[in-house]
Amino acid sequence: MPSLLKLDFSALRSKLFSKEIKAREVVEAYIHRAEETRHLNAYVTETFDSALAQADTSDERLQKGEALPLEGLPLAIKDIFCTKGVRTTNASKILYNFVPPYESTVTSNLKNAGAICLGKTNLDEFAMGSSTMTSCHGASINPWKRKGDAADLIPGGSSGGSSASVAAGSSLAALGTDTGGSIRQPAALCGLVGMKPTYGLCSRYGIIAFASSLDQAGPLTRTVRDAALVLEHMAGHDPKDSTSMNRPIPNYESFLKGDVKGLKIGIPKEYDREGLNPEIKALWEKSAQWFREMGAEIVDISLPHTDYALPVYYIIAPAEASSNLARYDGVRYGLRMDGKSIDEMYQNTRTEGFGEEVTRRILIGTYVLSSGCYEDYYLRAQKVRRKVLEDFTNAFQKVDFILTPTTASEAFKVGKNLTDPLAMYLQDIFTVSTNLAGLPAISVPAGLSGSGLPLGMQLIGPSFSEASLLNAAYALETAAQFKSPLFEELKCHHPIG
Amino acid sequence: MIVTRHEIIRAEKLARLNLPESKVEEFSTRLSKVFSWIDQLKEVDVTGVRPLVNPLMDFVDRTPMRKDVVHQTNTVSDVLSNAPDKDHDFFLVPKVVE
Repeated sequence: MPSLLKLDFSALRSKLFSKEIKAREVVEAYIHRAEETRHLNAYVTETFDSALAQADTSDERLQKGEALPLEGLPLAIKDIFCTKGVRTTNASKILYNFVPPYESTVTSNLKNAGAICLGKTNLDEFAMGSSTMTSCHGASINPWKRKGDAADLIPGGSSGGSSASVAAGSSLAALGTDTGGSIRQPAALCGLVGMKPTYGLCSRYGIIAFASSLDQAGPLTRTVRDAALVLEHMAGHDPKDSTSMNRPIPNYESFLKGDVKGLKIGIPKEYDREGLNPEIKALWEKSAQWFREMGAEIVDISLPHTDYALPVYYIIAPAEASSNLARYDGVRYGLRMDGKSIDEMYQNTRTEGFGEEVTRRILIGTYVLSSGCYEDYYLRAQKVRRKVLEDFTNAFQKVDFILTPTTASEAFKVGKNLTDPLAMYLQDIFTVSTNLAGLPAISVPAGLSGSGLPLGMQLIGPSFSEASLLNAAYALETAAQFKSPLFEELKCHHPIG
Repeated sequence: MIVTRHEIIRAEKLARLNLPESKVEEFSTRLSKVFSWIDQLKEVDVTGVRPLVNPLMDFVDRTPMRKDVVHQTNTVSDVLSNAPDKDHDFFLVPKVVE
């Protein structure tokens, strides 16, 4: 008998709606799996009791035929989303005991659509990192292992607790945020689908701010169909976020036809970098070939300012962060350390509360915004940012979507790379440009490396092209036929059938 | 590009951080390396280019305004619920005026 843990949400939903299984059984199975995989450190706060209570409410609605669209979805939430009455740490000592008195709009939308929150997942402190190694809760562990090697690997980051949890089957979908690749990179390294929507599609209200002009929430799921289902119920205008756009949100699932005939897919030559892992390059070429075979046209394009995207990002993101993080002063919430004067109290609190990577980025941000540096760095970076956007605008006059690898390498071992910030920053090389330009992008698991680890391919679309982008991703997913052995192996005490 | 000890100390003061001396040295070395890499941006000709502050600025003329209507959101007790130190309806801080 198959385990219900093996089903993606669209399959699970049919069984819930036909009353073949109960939401309570689903939630109990996922809680059991979360307990079984606690060693992965995916969750930092578990909310199992309230999840069971919500499951009973879901079952009542299912019984009455009043089911909501995401009824019974076992969801994990990155610990950067404020959840009313549930501790929200942002993986930082400075917010270790913070219990928000309000709920983020995105989590509120998902709960109102019937999703059930199992808990809050780990991340890099303040979402600054690509591995979860900067979390005050310690790193999360990728459920994938290299062939014949038991060493623990990072799950990517910053949404690494979310990716570890979905990959391990301790949640069916998870929420992440993506400022420079923090949904797509962990999704790729854990064999999942991860989507960063267009800037302005989802409300940022109640998401603890890192870099406000780059941050965007999105889903991590097993399949493109599930990403479409979750995104539809996250997105939408919110009067509490003036940067959320007032546009109709379509039924994304209805666009998943897999027909890409006649589409033009761009391959940017600048992404074919010296030193690009040959396995990733080969998979990139194979993915292009799949599109060709499905009737799409592959077009060589150029994004000439690609090399400048990372240094632009490492000015703009820390600058916005240094401003956003000024609010942590020990007065209204979070950690407070004593001091003889108010200034000493601020200093002691912030020095004690922020970890090293966050401190480094606050210093970079403060420096580039300080008098004498503003024009040379911050203003120049904003101008080069426009050049990066113009590259994409020009490219999208020739092509419908752009295909690139998601990451430059497979998942690495826990502990590696942390000492060299530049090596760590290079993790974001294929993902940051889309945040600078505000574009939607999705990572789809496309194959395995020689050592048996998952690799992801990224599709980038024009602003607000989510519906057709999801369809192109669906076509890629269908062609790649990626099957995670982790999901195949899932067993549970709640068999169905 | 060298980020000097003096510049680190200035940024540290502006950011209300208080690093030990050994960290100031370390940050000076590390940030010098980061800024040498960032300096490649000087190669780009940005004459006449309008800064891109926000990716939506080409979609909308201005930030949309909402109606100025009173809503009940967080109450005083909600807002004070996470305060490290409070008295009645106030946040308490170390004495500011001598």
